[in-house]
Amino acid sequence: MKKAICGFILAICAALFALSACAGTFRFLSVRLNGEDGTITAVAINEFDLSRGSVAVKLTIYRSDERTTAAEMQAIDSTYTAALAAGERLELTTDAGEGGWFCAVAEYTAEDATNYIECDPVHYDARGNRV
Amino acid sequence: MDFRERLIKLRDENRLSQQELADMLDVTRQTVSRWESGRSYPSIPQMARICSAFAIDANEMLGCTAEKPVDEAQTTHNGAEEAQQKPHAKRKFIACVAVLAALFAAALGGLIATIVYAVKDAGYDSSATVWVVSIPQNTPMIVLCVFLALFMVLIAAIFIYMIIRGKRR
Repeated sequence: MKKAICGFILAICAALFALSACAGTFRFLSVRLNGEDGTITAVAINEFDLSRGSVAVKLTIYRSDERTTAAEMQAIDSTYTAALAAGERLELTTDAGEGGWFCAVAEYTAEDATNYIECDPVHYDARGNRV
Repeated sequence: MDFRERLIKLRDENRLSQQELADMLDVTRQTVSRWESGRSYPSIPQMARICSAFAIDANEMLGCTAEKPVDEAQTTHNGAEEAQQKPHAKRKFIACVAVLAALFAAALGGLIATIVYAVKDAGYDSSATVWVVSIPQNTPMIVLCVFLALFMVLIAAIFIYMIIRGKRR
């Protein structure tokens, strides 16, 4: 009985894994934000990927004077790649200007569906130091 | 087969408990237990009573004579069974060790990955991550139904197994 249950669990895991890895999507994406030397840098990384297709990523840095969500912020710079492979990174650096609240958003498109991840807004001064 | 093994075998064959045998021999149950574990041996009068109780020759009881042919056959049979069981037990043990090693490796890998990500994140002011897991949009509904059914069967099987195991205990 134990063997049967273990075998069953393994079979389901293997089937799901195979289904997602061979035909579907199975990846781990991250987006990070950092300030330094008067600049703000956003990085999107395809950390882990077992998917068949590639992922298209558009990385955007938003800014506002007040703390708010990315939807209400103003996009100040963006970059795009049609295929971000496993382990690859997409980097975007912009001037900190007078400082303010900054946020990075990565829009990714896979399997004809577009979603996004955004990191929490961070308050930087003109020198790119976190306030 | 030494004395203590013969004693255990004879007691089992006669379906006697240690206490019942002790009563027959006019000794305590602890004394019988000590004989069977090889921690002590019966005195000559006690040995005589044992032989009398089981209607067995003292030489045979002490292993001074060859085993009876029937016993030999039984011993050979038991030996073959043990020989068959040993590799099976070894395989089981190796399988358990392999599973534990795999789980430990997975846990260790997870811990290392977590530390690596924590260190990586520490270098940034803000970060967000996401697992993107999806199946193809054109996957037939029947496939999803089969997976769902398999999960339900799995849960039911575990539930039934736990009930059966609970009853056995």
